[in-house]
Amino acid sequence: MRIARNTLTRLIRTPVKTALFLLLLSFTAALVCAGGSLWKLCGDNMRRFEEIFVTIGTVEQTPERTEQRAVWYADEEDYRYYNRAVYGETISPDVLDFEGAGYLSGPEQRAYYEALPQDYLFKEREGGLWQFMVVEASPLEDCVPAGPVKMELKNVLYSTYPPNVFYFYLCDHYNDSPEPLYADKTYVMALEDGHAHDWDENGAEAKFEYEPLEGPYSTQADADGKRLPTDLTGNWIAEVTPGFYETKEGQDWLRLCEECVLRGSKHLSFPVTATEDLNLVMAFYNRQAYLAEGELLSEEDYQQGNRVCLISAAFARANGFQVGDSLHLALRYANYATSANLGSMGNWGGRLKADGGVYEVFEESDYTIKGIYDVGVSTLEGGEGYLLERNEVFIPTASIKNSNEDNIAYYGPMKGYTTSFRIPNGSESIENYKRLWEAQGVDHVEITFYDGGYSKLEGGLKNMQTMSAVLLTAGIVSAVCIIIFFCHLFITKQKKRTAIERCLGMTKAACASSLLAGVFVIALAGSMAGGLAGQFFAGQAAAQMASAETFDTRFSNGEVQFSMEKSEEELTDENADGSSVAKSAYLTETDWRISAVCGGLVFLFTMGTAFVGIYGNLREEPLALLSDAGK
Amino acid sequence: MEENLEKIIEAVNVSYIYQTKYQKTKALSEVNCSFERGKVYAITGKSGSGKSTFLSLLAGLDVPTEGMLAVEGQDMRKMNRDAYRLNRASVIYQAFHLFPLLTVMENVMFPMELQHVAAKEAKARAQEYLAKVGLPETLYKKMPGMISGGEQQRVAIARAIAAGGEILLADEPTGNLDSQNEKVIVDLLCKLAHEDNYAVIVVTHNEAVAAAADVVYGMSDGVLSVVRE
Repeated sequence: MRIARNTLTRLIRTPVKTALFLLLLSFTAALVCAGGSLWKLCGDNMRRFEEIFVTIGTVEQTPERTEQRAVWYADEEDYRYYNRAVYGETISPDVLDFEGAGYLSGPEQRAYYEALPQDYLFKEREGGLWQFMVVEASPLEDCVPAGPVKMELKNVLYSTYPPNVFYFYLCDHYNDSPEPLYADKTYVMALEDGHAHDWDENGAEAKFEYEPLEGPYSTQADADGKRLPTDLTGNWIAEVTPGFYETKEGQDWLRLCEECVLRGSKHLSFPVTATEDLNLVMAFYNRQAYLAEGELLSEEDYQQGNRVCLISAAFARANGFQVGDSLHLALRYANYATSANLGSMGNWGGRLKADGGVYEVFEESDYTIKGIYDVGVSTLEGGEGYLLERNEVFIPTASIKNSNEDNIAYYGPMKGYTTSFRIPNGSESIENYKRLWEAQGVDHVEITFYDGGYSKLEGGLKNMQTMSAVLLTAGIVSAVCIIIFFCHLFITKQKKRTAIERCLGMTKAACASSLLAGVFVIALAGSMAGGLAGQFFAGQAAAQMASAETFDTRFSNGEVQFSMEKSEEELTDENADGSSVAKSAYLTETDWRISAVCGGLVFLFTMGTAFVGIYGNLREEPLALLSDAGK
Repeated sequence: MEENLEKIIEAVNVSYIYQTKYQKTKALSEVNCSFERGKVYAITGKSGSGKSTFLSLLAGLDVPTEGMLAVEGQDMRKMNRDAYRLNRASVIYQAFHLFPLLTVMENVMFPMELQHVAAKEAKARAQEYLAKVGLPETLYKKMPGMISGGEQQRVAIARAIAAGGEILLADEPTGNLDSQNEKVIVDLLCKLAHEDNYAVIVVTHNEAVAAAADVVYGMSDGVLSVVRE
């Protein structure tokens, strides 16, 4: 104790030197701690963003050319001209399988499967169900349906809902040279409502105008996406002759009706989308769809093919479904050409198999409802193909155990809303992918990347990490220099003192303690003060970083995962322009343990250097040193 | 070896070799001598003759390479030499070597603190020793740098005897002093030997100091010889 007291007395009697050592040591310790804390924080943030952000690429086969198409409009008695994309041979998504791509998910050309509606209730399209019907009818007089012609309804083979009329008007609206119809003949025809001439003068009767739709036809494809040959013509009308329904053509018409009954309606759909990763579905990726209840499909679900599903809130409400309930899914056919939303609008091909048969269920299982998603404000960015169908169900691709190769109802070119993949985050990863993709030399395939602003964020964090590395390095270098310099002053230059103490009978251990006591006090105080200051400055810098590096959620798709556990209100501040800014994504809490470790290292290095100096002092021959000093 | 209680230190065939990485240097060669209580010994010789090395061995800061150095018959190799320096032998130097950041009083109290003497008693004894070496009380709280060379050497002597030892080793104690202070210090050393029964061993170039000694040894190339007995 007395030794320590003497040492402290000496420190107090050299206040400038002591204060300077303390100050500089605190400063350098603060630099080291701040640098270390920020380095760790940047690393943590990068790892966090790495987890919550997702980088996907959507793939679209681009048309080889466009061509002008003339469409007859009967009401205008003129053509309208539209440009239509003309695709070359359908390119397989296999072209995306190349070495070094580094996919985390996919690439997948997603199919949606039409499921049997069972007794479930479905949310219908706004504006009600369009009427679609297959009927037998005869014109009241011989006519050409180039304009509205009055028809007598003879038999309803199928209708979305009962027509409740005996007569209706028919117009082969888009045909510039329709075939004549004869009053003494009966025709079977596929019709839908929804189109009207300007029929003000005809009053209420105008609403019964129907226009033809395709009759039985098929777009069935094989496993390679090649269209299967078929003799189904797709004619919207056929003459009903005696024994007609015993003929192949008549049977096809009956199966078309059977198909409509199975499905419930032409415009009603129970689509089930199979995916390897929900992040690949743009509506989930850009947060239009978010989890309202339960959980998302997990990595294990995708890998193991667990029979779990995610259903829409609308569908859940209509049927009173809760998370954990069972949903019976009977899948009939796959559509690889469009998204479920486009498919439900009827914008796709025929519904019969190439041989005229009805698609049978090829996969039937009970699925557990794992989560319920809801859809926020929808935008038409990218087109309707990117929107979700109202009753759309999502399941893991691997949960479908049976092959669908005989049940592919439609196959088409890759589209952004059907084909996507996921790669690691970061501009480096994207650039690497682009470079490798270009080397494949595949034409007419366009890839668009979405990273939710991760690249920008990553750049900011990397800059910050570089700065923290500079800070850390500067701190370490200056700490080493200052510690060595002051240990020289406090230890090495105290050789004479050690020699005197040795000559006075002090043991080597006591001499070491005597010198160490002073350094210990300064090192401890300096390291602690520096650690606290470093922690404080790192916290300030982190807060500054977070406020400077907020990002707009319109482009921050990585918030998808983030929103699973927190409400949107918790996550965002609303901007004046309606966009929102993520506020809780950044970690700003610095880890006190890093400061403790850095401060501890500074302390230990100081003590270590002091030990080395003291060891050198004790190796000197005391009397020789003192004799030399006097001469 | 003949037992003689008056002989406090006896050197028997003491040799010492400095060994560096590249060479060996024989600093002392078969030194034989003895030191008794109550006498002043002077060891003279040129620089590099081995005087300081011998003093270093006498202070227990090192041990002979060959031969034996005995303190009251006990081989110094087997002794706790830190305790020996603390309790029995003290060294004073030409450059005084006081602790510059401790006051005069604290310097003198220092060895007693190492002996765990109570602070109050240590202070009283320090005052006594400082008075004994003739240092005015007004200087007790001064820092060493604020007093003269002669006063500093007296403080050094007070510190040396404060531990209560019986061997006082001095390395050129008057080398930095003027003739007036030199005489004061030499008288003080003689007084400590003759009145307080210290064995005072002085390494010196100074003829006046040597003249005041009871026994004078000469050292040349590590060989000790009796000059005057």
